[in-house]
Amino acid sequence: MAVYSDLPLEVQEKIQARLSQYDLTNCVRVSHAWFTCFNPYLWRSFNLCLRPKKETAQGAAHFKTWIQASDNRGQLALRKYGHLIQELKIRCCSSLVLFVTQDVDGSCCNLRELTFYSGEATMSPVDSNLPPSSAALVQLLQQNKSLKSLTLFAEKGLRIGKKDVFRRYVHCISTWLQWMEALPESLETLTLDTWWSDRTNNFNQEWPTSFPLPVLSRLHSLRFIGVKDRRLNNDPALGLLKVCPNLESLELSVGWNLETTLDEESFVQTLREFCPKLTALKIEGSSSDRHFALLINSCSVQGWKSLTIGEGRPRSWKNSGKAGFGHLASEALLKHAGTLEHVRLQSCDGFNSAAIQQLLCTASQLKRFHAVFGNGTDKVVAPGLSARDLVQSDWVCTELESFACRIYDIPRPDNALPSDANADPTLHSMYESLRVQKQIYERLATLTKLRELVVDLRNQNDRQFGPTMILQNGGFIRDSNELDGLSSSLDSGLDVLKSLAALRTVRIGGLPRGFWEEAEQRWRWKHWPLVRMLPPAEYFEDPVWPPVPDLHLIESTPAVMFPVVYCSGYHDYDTDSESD
Amino acid sequence: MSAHSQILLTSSEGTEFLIDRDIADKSMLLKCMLEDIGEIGQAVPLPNVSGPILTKVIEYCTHHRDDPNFLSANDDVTADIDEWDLEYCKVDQGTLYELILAANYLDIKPLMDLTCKTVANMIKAKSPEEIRKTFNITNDFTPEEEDQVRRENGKDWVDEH
Repeated sequence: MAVYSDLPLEVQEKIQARLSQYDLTNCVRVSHAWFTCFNPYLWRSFNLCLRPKKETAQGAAHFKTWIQASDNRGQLALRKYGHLIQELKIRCCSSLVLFVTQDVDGSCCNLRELTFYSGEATMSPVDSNLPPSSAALVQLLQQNKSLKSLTLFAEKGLRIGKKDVFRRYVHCISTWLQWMEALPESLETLTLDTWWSDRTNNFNQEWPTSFPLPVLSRLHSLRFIGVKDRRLNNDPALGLLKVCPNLESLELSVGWNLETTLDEESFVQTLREFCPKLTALKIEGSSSDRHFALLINSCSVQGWKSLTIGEGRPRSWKNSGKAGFGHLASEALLKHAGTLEHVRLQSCDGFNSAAIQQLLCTASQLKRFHAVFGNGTDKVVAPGLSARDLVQSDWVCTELESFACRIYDIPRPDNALPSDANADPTLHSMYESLRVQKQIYERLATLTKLRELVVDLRNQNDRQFGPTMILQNGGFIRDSNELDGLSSSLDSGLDVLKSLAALRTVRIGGLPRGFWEEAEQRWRWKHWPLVRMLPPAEYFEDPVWPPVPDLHLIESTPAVMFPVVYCSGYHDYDTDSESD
Repeated sequence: MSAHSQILLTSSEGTEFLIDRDIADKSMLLKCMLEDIGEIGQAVPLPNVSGPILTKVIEYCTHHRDDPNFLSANDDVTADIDEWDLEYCKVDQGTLYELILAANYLDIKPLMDLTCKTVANMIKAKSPEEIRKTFNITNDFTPEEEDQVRRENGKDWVDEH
């Protein structure tokens, strides 16, 4: 009779992938045969990085107790199984230092992914007998010659007391250089969130204007760099670009001070000269129209395939008359319409309806287009596509697989109520409204490869339209942000979308007519049995980035080796994880 | 090609199974083979699959014959297993493993996902002793060995819930 160990390894992995760390720790204790099957998988991912839920300090404490146990169990286990660890995530310096110092033989040498958030500061080590974490990190990098992915979050927000914040930055230049020099040649993705340079001047410690690059072997494998530093000038990370000839995608966080700090020419020059394969750019942060345009124009001859731009204008600029992503940046973007495959604009309201329409009518390679705003709860209107622009000319983006963009300006009968003296009643008749909506649906139905469709970018609570909103006295309630969206009713022409066989995710119909009605529900289950209706806010995530297509990292095991890990100061890194 | 054409399969012990073409097409292995070489009118030998298991596989494919979502049926790791499928998987462990092997060989992804999910569910949230009982495994660890494994793999790091 067949037993578990008879299953081919790839089949075993499918089963193991469905188990938590907790289950795996039980499996290895079942028998010798099961130990052999499950132990490599159990050790593959070593995660000290999970968000604490309740008993805060316990996870780290568990780990520390284990690794420092008097019977040397941690040390012995690392010696035996350290080579099995492919993914290591560590959240605080002392854990990293303990890990490296207890791994006396350097057994942990097959890492593919390393994530290190330095929470506790190098300035306040838990145990002053321990070497600094930067040295531990350097050692770990040096002994892992096949590392593919490195993420460093460091020296940020170490708020033990507000006054302590800046003290950390003193050591940064030397730390930085040590890390840089230890980067293995195998590296494919590198994310640095180091945040030092803004603060440097607080110590009268200036970065040299021409930064002496450490002696680096050229990082031939590096395909993605993410630099989350708000200052680009004199940045050693910019120098890093010069040694990555195969770089494909770049993520930058830019600050409002880009205007004064960016050495435009050298930046553009560097990208053009040293990164000929760069085709994907993600810019996060707020800057001026001119600088967005500059960054978009910095492309090599190939043209951008992927552009992701977030937060075109900071909140504080809203009433200041300063423009964020505007017509210069829009023009720069449209110049790349011929090559663009992925475009995601978040809060870039400068990319207006006409620009969107122009992009969709010229970008024949486009696979993904998202124009969204903020976090989904914002009251500010998202950029979007006016129905009037949309029906004007034909889209060429037949390759489009994902489309998230508000469609507005649909004529509405209740907009032509007597209160609106100038309204032409024929332009706002129900007949006209339905005619325009049908046209839009027919246009959407030409996107035969569409897998994801989001044309409603509002809060769920805001769906207010139609007769129910017209009051008995002839007035109407205008209490939603957007009243002129596309209705998801069969009357409006929804039916043509049943031809979209690839469709899996949809969010349309913020209006009360549509999916909440019986006829549409019946239609939905008949024609869209596979389609998931999207809850609010989900389309603000950006799962496709970074677009390095065939990068194969190990898949994280689903759950938890150390269920609760906490160390002081790390809460500042939580912004992108779940909130509870 | 007629929709009603039939395919002859031979199991490892030589038993012949006559099945409809659309059932055979649920297996990517058979589908590609039939598309490549065409229907030659001869039996297709399946030396890796025994008769009883092949019967079971055909039962699955026949039940899901007209399922439009066949290929993505068990994609969702967290979703519950459908009632018929649940009943279908109530077989002894050896049969379950052989079903996995057959699904793997014949390349029937939803059956593969279903059976793997079933095995995982048999393991989940169980103590080592309970797993042994479920899978009928004898504990061949000495108490010392078991204690060592526990210490090495940090059972005591993990929250017991």
